[in-house]
Amino acid sequence: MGLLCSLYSYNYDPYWLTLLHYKKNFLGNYVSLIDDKNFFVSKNGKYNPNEEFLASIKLIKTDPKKFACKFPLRYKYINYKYHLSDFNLSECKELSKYLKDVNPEKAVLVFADADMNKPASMFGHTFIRIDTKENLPVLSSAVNYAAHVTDTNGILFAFKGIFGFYKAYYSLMPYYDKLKQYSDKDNRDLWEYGLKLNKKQIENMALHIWELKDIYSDYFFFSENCSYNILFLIEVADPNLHVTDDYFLTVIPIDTVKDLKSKGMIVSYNYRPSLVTQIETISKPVRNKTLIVKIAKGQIPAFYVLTLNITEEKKARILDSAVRYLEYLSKKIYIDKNEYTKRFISILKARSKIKYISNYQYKTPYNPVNSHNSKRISFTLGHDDINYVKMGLRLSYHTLIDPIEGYKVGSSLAFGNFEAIFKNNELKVNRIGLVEIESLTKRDEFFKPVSWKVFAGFYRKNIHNKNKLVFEINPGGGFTYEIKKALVYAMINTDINLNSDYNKGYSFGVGIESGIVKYDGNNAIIMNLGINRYFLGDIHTKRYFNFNYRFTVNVQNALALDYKFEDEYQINRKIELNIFHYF
Amino acid sequence: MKKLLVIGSIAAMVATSAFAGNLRDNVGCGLGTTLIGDKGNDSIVMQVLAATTNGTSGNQTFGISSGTLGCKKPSKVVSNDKLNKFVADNMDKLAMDISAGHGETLAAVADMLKVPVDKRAAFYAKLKANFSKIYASNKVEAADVIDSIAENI
Repeated sequence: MGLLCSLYSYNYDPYWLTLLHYKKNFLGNYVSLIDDKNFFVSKNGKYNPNEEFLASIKLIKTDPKKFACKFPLRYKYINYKYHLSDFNLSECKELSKYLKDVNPEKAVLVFADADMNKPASMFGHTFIRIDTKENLPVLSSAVNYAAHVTDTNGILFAFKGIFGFYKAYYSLMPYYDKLKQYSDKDNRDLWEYGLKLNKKQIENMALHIWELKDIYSDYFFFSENCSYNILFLIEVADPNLHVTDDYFLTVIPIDTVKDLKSKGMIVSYNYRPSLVTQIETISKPVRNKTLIVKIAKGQIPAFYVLTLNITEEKKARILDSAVRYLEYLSKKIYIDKNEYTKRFISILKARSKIKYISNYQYKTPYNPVNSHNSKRISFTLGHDDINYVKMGLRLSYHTLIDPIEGYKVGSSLAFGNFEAIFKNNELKVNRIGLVEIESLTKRDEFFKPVSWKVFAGFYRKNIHNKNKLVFEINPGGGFTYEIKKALVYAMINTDINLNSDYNKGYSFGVGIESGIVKYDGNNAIIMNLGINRYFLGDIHTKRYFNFNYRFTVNVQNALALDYKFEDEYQINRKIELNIFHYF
Repeated sequence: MKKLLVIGSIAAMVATSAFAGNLRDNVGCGLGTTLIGDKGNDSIVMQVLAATTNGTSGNQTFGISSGTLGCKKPSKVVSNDKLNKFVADNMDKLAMDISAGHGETLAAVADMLKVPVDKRAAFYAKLKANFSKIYASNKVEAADVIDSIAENI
């Protein structure tokens, strides 16, 4: 063994570390992020890169076929260095079939954007698409890293996801299956970013994906999540690229795309609209949208459209929207399959009789890769009865006031929203926002989402004559409409506040709130007003009005001017000037 | 009375299995195979907490050519598993593309059938004109569609 050690050693070759997903832990030792013992040939492989290397060499010498067909990229790498065996990878039957099916030529990093009514999806998701030389994405393969989840209990789901109690796998499937999932079912737009990798590099990526077949790892939402683990596939393809070390503690999907772009790895992009976006865009010039809805619901026969005195294009748009809306409906409500296919065919039969050929152009929205970064620091100059200063740090992600470019209008998601205030020569905590989510999604003829919000955290408030940090949970629900390009909403809120200075130690109330959100170029205006009646615990009423104006200096820097009026126990008026910087 | 009970219970069983069949029927050889299946829990509580995982409850698949799901094979086209599976998996999209005269799924099928690029516009126009023949029944299956398309090359 001593002689073996001196002849061979991985010598801290970063590529060996990348191949087996080794990372330095907090003690400075290399540990593989993969937890499945089947990923290693040595007993202690997960914790010992050199032992794994030596055991691999031994196996190549004794049973090259076994090693090579399971770990073809490792075999290629070791054999290139030491030439230990003449075994040729083409003799691996299953591997060869896999490579023939995947037929790797180019690779694309696909980013799934948020579903408008699900701010939780705002963090996005990334996966890889491997293209063949046919250049027909629907014939490509997709590689995805995801946790295998069977729980339906939300809290268990969250706990297990955060603390690594789910097993995650890399899976391979046709790209069209991903489109059915993200585009058609989850209503998420896709951004396809072409990667700067040549054919040989992508072949190596495909070999590494094979090595990861059926191998599990513990899934950690914040750190070892979908986007992070996909990066290994890119790093394995290009040994000069180091991206998996760029993250500390948390990985947000779009940040991985931004990082790759900064390293020159993104060479192209393509926008692929979701089913909902298609319906909205195709139907835009059609005034009678109710007709589209009725056709999709089978209330008006599709051939009626052929009798209308409108342009061929308008007729085509009505039917193209109707069939897509029918597909959308089928995912929301139960439609008997026979009924669905009958309606589906009848719409398309009518469509086939219209000479117009559909080739709708979708205006590409602002590219999320150029959006404001996920962390924000803020500096505020304020005045109510006296002057004060606030400093804030928000760990993630995007709220209504932040520059909207690359984000969905009306969606707000913030975790870790901290603020300190310096007033009256005292520095105090002003806010510890744990979770702040808001979804103002407009209702129209097609889509009738419920707008909602949840705020939970510690906020400094006035209680009678004292100024205290209060624990608050504030859920609300309502409706939003688009009027003259502004979002107008009305919501019913529940507000629960806990602090010993309240009469009875708490205050529980219900209220209504209405507001407007309007974006116009570099400007944004957000206004709301509301009234809450606290009828349990500390009984009182609160009225409030907020006006915010935000000006975008550039995507990573903004200014906001706020006026806040509040009447709770006493009247308080604030005016604030904020500077935001995103990083 | 007994007859009624028997008929009633059979009807109930058929109804439940049909219902269950429709809800779970997201593999198949005909149209409408992307109908609502595993809808998942969409509640707002789930959503707030769903930010923490990008989980999939489906079986972890690793493979892209897992056969043609037991669908019947086309009779007029040389055996092409890749084409058969693609059409069976994309029946709805293909029908939409043919009726509109344009689309990605249709282009992929044309490619797999090796229709020369300069003949594609005419090919698409012919399919569009024959839509009602290709999709004569809403119960048409992938093999029938492929055979009908092949007649138009």
